[in-house]
Amino acid sequence: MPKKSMELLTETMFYVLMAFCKDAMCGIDVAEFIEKRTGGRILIGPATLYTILGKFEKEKYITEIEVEGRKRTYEITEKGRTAYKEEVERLKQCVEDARAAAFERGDLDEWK
Amino acid sequence: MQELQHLKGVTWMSGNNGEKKTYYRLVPCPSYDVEGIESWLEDMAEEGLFLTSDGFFFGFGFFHKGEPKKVKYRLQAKSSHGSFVSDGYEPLKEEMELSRELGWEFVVSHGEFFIYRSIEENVRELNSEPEVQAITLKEVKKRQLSSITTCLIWFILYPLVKKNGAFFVPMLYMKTWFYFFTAGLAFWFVFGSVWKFVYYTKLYKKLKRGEQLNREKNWKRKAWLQPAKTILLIVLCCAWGGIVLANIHRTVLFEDEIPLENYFGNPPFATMADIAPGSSYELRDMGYCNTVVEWSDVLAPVNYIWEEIAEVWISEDRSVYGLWDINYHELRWPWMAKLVAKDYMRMDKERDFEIIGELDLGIEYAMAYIDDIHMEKVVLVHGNKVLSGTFHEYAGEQENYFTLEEWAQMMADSIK
Repeated sequence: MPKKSMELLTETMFYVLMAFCKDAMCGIDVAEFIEKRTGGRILIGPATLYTILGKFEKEKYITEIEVEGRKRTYEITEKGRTAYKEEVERLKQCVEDARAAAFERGDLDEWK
Repeated sequence: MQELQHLKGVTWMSGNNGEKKTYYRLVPCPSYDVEGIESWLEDMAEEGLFLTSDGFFFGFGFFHKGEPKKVKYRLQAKSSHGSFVSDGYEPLKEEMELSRELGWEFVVSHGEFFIYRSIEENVRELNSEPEVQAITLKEVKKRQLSSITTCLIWFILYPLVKKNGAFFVPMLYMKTWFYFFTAGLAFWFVFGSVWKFVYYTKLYKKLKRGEQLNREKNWKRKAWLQPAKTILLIVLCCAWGGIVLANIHRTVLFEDEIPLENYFGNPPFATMADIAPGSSYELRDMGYCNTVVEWSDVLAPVNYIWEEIAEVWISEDRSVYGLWDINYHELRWPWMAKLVAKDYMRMDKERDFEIIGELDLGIEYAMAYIDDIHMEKVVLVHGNKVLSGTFHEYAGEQENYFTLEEWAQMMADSIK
């Protein structure tokens, strides 16, 4: 059955949820977390980050818990945590399927 | 509006008083052409021209001159997600702060977008993921659709609904050429809105596919077109506004109305003086009416509005006193006459409107009805002539001297 629109998390969205699963954070902390976690592979742009935060707040994946001057801090909700876990399981399944396909081909070198 | 932060690393050129001089450049791309505007601004920076916080005005961009530099410009769609609702003039303070920390400076608001720039060569992209950028563009699309609907309602539907769907009579009263001039401007705005929506949709689909925008778009190819359109639109709108003001001025001063006592023309229809030829006739000064307006139009060479309050002595002891009101047109083609007649009935179709019926007056078409202010009215058509007329007798306690059929017959005989 095809997924509904918000269930299709992009890679950046996935890492934003990952950041909030670790701890409540503000925007700049999320950007730094993602850069560190991916070794600089993903440098999330400020506009991209704010679009994602707005979308997640609308979908009730995160909720604002504190406003201090120009800093807003968010924490993940149960719905957000569930969406993250579902995505992790989906990605795990993708990797398993890829491993099985490689085994059938006899091409196991890439999995060493 | 936020003061523009000093662009780091740029040597500014100042005027004699030490202040930065402002340079004006015609914008070569429409405001919705994200790729074109970004490319153009970057090319301007390489010539030493940097967009100021005054942004744009009437098709001109405002720039300060400095040492040429490679600068990245990006347009970010205004969005309203969750608690992120900006006032439309600038982004939220937190977003600007984060952008600044990551190397991007907010410059100015422009239409549906905020313009950012960065002088850092290796700065991370403002939008690092096209699919996410598509989310904000989707909102812009929705707003544009709403704008199209508003344009359609106010420029097309409302004028028609206000006149109960009448088209030809308002056109003749406004003068056909001005009617089409106004309609042309209205369609320009509606079409422009639709075109913008189509452009945003193309851009949205591109971003949804994961494609980055083209930051090296050749804006020079049609650089003359947008300024030409802008200048033409300004000229046309000023001309339209000038004509409207002149017409209002003439209407307020009643310049088009000629008092009947000063009118010596020969109208091609019956007037109250024709009720009883040779009888004593006197205009009654009520402080209004007793005027004629006469004009020519490309679709109707002869047009009259005749409003007369007079008293005619039929006999020594009987006079007829009342309002004789005629709207008369000679159309260029007979087929238009019936359409104009139907328009008059449409315009009178408010509450209490009531059809009396067709009259047999020896002309092509004669319809009588009670209009929205309870007056008996007739609409007559013969060849290319149309007459919409009413005679309201102030008979007091006496019965009206003329019946509807009798005064309608007088009007009909005059246009045969």
